[in-house]
Order: sequence, then C-alpha cells, then structure tokens
Amino acid sequence: MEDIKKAFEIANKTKIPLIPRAGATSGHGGTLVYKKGIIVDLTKLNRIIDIELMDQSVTVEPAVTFHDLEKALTMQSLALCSYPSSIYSGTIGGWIAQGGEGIGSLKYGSIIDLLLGLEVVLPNGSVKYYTEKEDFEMFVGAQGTTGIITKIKMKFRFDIPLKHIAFTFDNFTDMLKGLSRCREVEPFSVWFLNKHKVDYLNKTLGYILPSRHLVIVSKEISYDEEEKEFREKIYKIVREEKGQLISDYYIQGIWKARFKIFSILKEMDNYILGEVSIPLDYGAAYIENLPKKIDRKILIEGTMVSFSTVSIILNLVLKTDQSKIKQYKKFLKVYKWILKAIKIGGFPSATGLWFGGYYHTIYGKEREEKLLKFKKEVDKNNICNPDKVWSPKVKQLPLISLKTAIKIIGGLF
Amino acid sequence: MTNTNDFPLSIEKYVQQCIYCGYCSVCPTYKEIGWESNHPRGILKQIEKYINEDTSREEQKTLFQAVFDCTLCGACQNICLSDIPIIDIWIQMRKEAFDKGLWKQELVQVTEFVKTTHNIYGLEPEDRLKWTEYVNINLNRRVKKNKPVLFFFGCQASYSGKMMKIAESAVKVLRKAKVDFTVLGEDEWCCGSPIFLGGGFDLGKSLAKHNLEEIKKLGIKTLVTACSGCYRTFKNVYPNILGEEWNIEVLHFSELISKLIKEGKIEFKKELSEKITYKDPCELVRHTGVIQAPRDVILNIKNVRYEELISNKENALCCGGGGLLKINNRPLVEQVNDRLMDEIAYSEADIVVNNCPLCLDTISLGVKKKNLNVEVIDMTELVARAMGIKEKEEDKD
Ligand SMILES: Cc1cc2nc3c(=O)[nH]c(=O)nc-3n(C[C@H](O)[C@H](O)[C@H](O)COP(=O)(O)OP(=O)(O)OC[C@H]3O[C@@H](n4cnc5c(N)ncnc54)[C@H](O)[C@@H]3O)c2cc1C
Ligand code: SF4
Ligand code: SF4
Repeated sequence: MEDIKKAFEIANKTKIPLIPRAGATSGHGGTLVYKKGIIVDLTKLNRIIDIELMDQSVTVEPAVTFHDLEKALTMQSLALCSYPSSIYSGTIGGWIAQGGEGIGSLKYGSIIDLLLGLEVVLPNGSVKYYTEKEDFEMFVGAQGTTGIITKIKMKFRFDIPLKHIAFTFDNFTDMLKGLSRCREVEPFSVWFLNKHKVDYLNKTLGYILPSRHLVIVSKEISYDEEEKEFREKIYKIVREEKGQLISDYYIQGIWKARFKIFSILKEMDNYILGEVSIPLDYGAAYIENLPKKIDRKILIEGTMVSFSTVSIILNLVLKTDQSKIKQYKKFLKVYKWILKAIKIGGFPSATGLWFGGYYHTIYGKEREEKLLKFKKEVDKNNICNPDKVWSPKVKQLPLISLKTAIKIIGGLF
Repeated sequence: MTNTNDFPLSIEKYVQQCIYCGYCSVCPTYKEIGWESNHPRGILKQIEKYINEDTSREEQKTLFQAVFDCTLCGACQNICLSDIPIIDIWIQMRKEAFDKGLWKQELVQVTEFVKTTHNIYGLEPEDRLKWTEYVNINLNRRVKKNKPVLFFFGCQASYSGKMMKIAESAVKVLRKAKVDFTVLGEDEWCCGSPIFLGGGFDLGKSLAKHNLEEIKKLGIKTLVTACSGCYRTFKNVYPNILGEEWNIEVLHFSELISKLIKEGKIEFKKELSEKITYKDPCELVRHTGVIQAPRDVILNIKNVRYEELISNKENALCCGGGGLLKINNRPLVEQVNDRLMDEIAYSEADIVVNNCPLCLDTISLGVKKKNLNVEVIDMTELVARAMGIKEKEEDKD
C-alpha cells in the first residue's frame, strides 16, 4: 500500500499516468492502456487475509485469483458465490474494476452485491475503506480510473452441491420463453448454447450433445426432496415450452468444461468475438435475427445474469479463403449488431476500451455523473488510468483503419 | 535462433496460438516471482520476439532465466486453452540456451558427470549397486540376466543415501511377489532425464542408445521403475529419440503393483492404521497420465484411512523439485514447496506417500522446515509395509 501511495505521489508530480493491471484478462480491450503511462502490476498482492465464518466473509488482496480463493474456501467446505469463467486467471480486484457478472450471479448477484468492504488508494494518495454500496459504485466498473483497490471484503456461500438439468429446444423463440421461466426454480445459473455452438463443440471437443439449442440449469440442492421438486418443476416448464429433456449423461463433463469452452478458438484460423447483454423481454427477436443478419452459422453462448437479462457471446468463424475486406465487413456487422443491442436496452458486459463512452448504458446516467464528479474530486491531475471508460474515440471504432480492424479480427477482442 | 531437428516443433506457430487467456497463471513459479516475464504467457511473448526481432543481451538473459525458472510441472500445458505444447517449447529454448553457452555452471557440471560416470552425482559407475551392501541385500544372481522384466533403479535410488530405501523396498517387494526380474548393475546408465530436460539431446541420445542395447541383449520385455523422472523419459522421450526400436513395455512401480494385485499375485496382509495421503508427482500425473494405479494400490490396503490432498490428480501442486529448478534456482524450490506444505498440513495425514525420489527429497525437506508431524515415504516402502515385509528381513533370493 505504501508503494502505491508513493507511486501516486510521483505520478501527480510528474503527470505520468498510472495504469493498474492484474490478471490482464478482461474483455473488450479492458487490459489495454488508453494513454501512455506506468503499469502498476498488482499480481503480487495475492494474499488471502482472512476467512471469517461468523459473518460469512472473506478478506483478500486484490490480485487473488478466483481459483486460489475457491481452493481456500473448499478447505472449509465453503464456496464462491459467483465468479467469471476466467476463474484460473481473473482476479477479484480486476473483476470489481471491470464490473463482473458470471456463473452464480443469477442467485448471488454481480460483484457489487457480494462486496462488504473495499480498501482503496485514491489517486490523491489518501487511503479509504468503504463499506457502503453507493461508495462501491465509484469503483465497480470504473476500470481502475478512480483508484487502486488494495483490499476486498466479500461474501462467500456454503458449499452446497449443484445439480444440473439439461434440455434442448428446436427453435430460439421457445428456448427464450423457457429461459424466462427459469426463475420459478431459483437456479444458481442458467447457461445456454445455440445449435451451431453445440455442433462445433461436438466436432472439436468430442462431445455427443444433441444437435439442438441446449440449456443447462444448475441449482444448489441440499436434500433429496429438494432435488425431486427441482426436477418436477423443470420438467413442467420444459414440457409447456415445447422443449426436450435430455439425460444427465449428456452433460457429464460439459459443466466441468465450462472454463475451457474458449479452447474451441484454437480450431479456428480466424474468428470474431463479441459480447453483449440484452433484456430478455425484447431481446428474443434480436437473438433470433442474429443468424439472418450476421451469419447463418454464428455460434452463440449465453448466461442469464439476472432473470430479465441474458449475456451472450457471439462467435463467428472466419474462413481463410475469405478476402480481408469480406472479413472486415463481417466484423463491422458484428459490431453494428452489438451497438443495435445497446439501442434496444442492452449493454456491453464492460466498457473496456472498445465501449468507452457506454458506461451509462450499463450503470445509468445518474451513476455516470456521480462517477465523473468523484473522479474529478479524487484525481485532479487525471493520472489514474486516464480516459479509460469515457474515451470518445472508441465510439468511432467502425471507422478505424482497415489494418487496425484486421488486427482486432485476429484476436485482440 | 538456431535450428534444432531433435524435436521438430514449430515454435513460431505455437507462440502465435496463444489467446492471452492467462489460465497458465496457475504456474507455481510465476505465482512466487510475480512478473509477467515469468508468466508462461509472457515467456511465449518473449520467445515470439526472440524469433522475429533482434533482442538485446539483457532481454535474452531474462528469457532464458525464465525458461529455467520452471519446474516443468506441466500445470500450464495442462490448462492451456490453446493446447500449446509449452514444455517442449521450453525444452527447445533450453537447448537454445545451451547452444549459446548460457547454461548454468551447475548444469554443465551435472552433464559432465553423466557423460563421464553415467550418473548425475559423478560417483563411480561400478558403485551403482553399492547400496545393497548397506542393507544386506545380494543382487549378484540378478545382475544382467536374461529375464522378462528389468527393474531400473535410477541414479537417485542407486546413489543417494536418502533414497536408498526406495531401492531396498522395491527389491524386497518384487522378490516377495515372485517377479522374475533382472537389474543392469554397472550398465544401468542414467536414463538421461536431467539431460533431456536441459535440452541436451545429443548426450541424452547416447545414453538412451546404451540402455536400449543392454535391454535388447537381455531380451527384456518390460521395464519397471519407481522413479517418475525415469518413467517419463522411457515413456515419452525414448520413443521420440529411438523410434520404433524402442518397443519395450514401460511400467511405473505402482502400475506393476496395481496389476499384480488385480492378478491376485500380491496380497496386502498388514493393516496400516495411519491416515494416508498421496502426492501425485507432476511427471506421472500430467506428463504420462498415471493417476489411478497409485490410488488403486493404496486403496487395497486393509481398512486404509485415505484422503486426497486438496489439489490432486491433474491439478496436483508441484513440490518445486523438478525441471532442474534445484540446480537453477534453489530458493525458488522452497517457495514453491511451501504451498504444497500448507496442503499437506491441512490434510492432517500421518503419512504422505510419494511416487518419485525427487518429490520425496523435496517434500522431506519441506516437512522438516515447517516442522510438520507427518512421515514422508515412497510408494515402494508403503507397499513393503502393507505386504508385511519386515525392515530387517533376511536376504532371500
Ligand atoms: C476465458 C475468459 C473468460 C471470461 N469470462 C468472464 C465472465 O464469465 N464474466 C466476466 O465478468 N468476465 C469474464 N472475463 C473477463 C475477465 O477475465 C474478468 O472480468 C476478470 O475478473 C478480470 O480480472 P483481471 O485480473 O484479469 O483484470 P485486468 O484485465 O488486469 O484489469 C481489468 C481492469 O481493471 C483494472 N484493475 C485491475 N486490478 C485493479 C485493482 N486492484 N484496482 C483498480 N483497478 C484494477 C485494470 O486497470 C483494468 O482496467 C473472461 C475472460 C477470459 C479470458
Ligand atoms: S511447467 Fe510448471 S513451472 Fe514451468 S512454466 Fe509451466 S506451470 Fe510454470
Ligand atoms: S493458457 Fe495457453 S492460451 Fe492461455 S495465456 Fe497461457 S499459453 Fe496462452
């Protein structure tokens, strides 16, 4: 902490920006630097300080990875409430700063709902310990523009085993209707893959999943009766929404492999990835139209991040024989459709670099104004990850040079 | 960068395959060092630069130090989203370091020892079976005989006083189980493991050729070893180096015992009351996929009280001793080892069973340093105990 204070002192004197960095895994260019400066590598701040059973809290340094925390919790029959699928490399501080949502968020909320305390070194060199949600808001999703988080107190859950039920749908409309009813079973997570993604997984990773749109609902189950009730309710929903239950046998392995799904990228010579969250109510038509508007074979994977919102990852495999111009056009189409999702009430999963200027679509205008005011107060010299989150330049992404875009297509996403 | 044909591997292609997911941050040495230059992802980036651009002496030093500050535990490769053969790339870079004269003096010394004395300690080749004299075992009738099975002791079990128990227990178990085995004595040459791990393919190949010749002479069908380093070398490296000529079945001691149990040729007469845990050696679990056999052996012990370590099987923690790290960066070995000690302490086991002399040594040191109340033994010793073989059993062959 003293080192970080000192670093801010120097930065304020020299006007050289400081850019916090932890696991360097965040999406949409979240790891990238907007303005030249000094990288503050936080990875050595990786101690688990305390696990407190009485108030069900754990206190950690910011660069503890979810994987390491999970292991420490497992030793005491405890578990993570929610976590990103980058569990092995994503850090808790990084997840706060990029405003994470992930597996388990459906039941336990996004990272802000788990926070109990945040220690932050502010850009003006002062150290503050916050315990209120409205203060957390100044750091969650702020991409480290308002200070460097040095200690985190957050909730954990008791390690109640998860049971998974899987079912398939022939068309997306039915599937989305099915998803909207999942709240009836109070799930831990709901995860879905479109038919093309299922086919791709079967082809590349050797699964034998039925070639239809697939949904996996997971729930914490403590006793047999509870499981029975869970199954009965799901069976009813699936039948009513024209779905097809599939045997547990099919999904053995795929739940375990949820962290490794991105490994299909290695099978692709070139690809485009995009991610956006959309409201379920009027997002159905949007998702349904994606194959028509972007590409017939677009791969879609999604998770419900709340009962009214799904986060979807769009993945387009580019053919090597396609001209660079054609590839670029595809890229623009994906980007356009992500912007379209934002227009209909959706939002990017994080601002990162590509969605600078879209903070308000995620957190609302009021919070953005508060954040801007706070930033001005604590960072008069604008030396803490400057221009990230708000940079207007990225709005012009579709207009950037072809070469840059091709590079992005090549995997910078 | 010089071209190597020994393990043809398109390093350039693979380094570009990295998608920067960072999963390889599970790396035990990176966790201790903390710099991106030691993160497998960061090392790949440095290699990419090294291949494609002019790099300064300083940059090269950082890169080569990083590929040696590694236990070759395989945790990165095991988890890699892009299936990049990281270990092979590191080894190829180590060869590059050798070609550039950047090997550490200690590694050059070990290589010299192996070249001249055929063991890693530089001790007399004719003393390979000297240990038998200390434990009152006579192996004369088994040295270089035409037999179906060869037991390969490895340099550590043959020469190191700390590891002698492994050799002794293995021999007693094999005899009691009536395995028709021979040993090579003076003609057992270092399998080449440390040499290959350093990227010294030429010397390694000559060792492999010698061992193959001896094996062929005796008509051996199956090679058994209790050393996971030797096992990995025979299983993964020899077929690459020697091609089809290497058609020997290779079994780890625990695989053989598991097989003998299934065939009813071994019986565990003695009940062990201690709580047991098992540390998977990286070279067995991630390099060669030996996971179940050791567990089958332990679980066959009467009324056994067995518990897994928190990180087990493919996710087992590294003890820190592998990949020549002991030669290249001793303090780092201890740091890596500390994390494993926390898990061993948490297990509250009375016995931690190992399956590799190197792990046995490293874990024993860690247990001593942390003052843990746990006995560290090798699988050979556990099996001997479970079979009711007495410590001072008289020599019968
Ligand atoms: C395969 C894969 C799957 C993923 N799945 C998910 C998912 O399911 N859900 C999800 O939300 N994300 C996901 N992500 C994105 C990302 O991994 C996570 O959000 C992760 O938690 C980010 O942490 P990090 O340590 O990598 O942060 P970094 O990328 O290092 O940093 C992210 C931002 O936070 C700032 N920052 C980092 N640490 C601090 C700190 N201590 N104080 C202040 N600012 C800081 C940085 O300046 C940067 O702006 C995934 C990424 C990958 C590669
Ligand atoms: S082999 Fe092990 S020590 Fe070496 S880089 Fe990979 S994870 Fe790290
Ligand atoms: S796990 Fe593999 S793909 Fe991911 S960063 Fe490490 S080397 Fe690259």
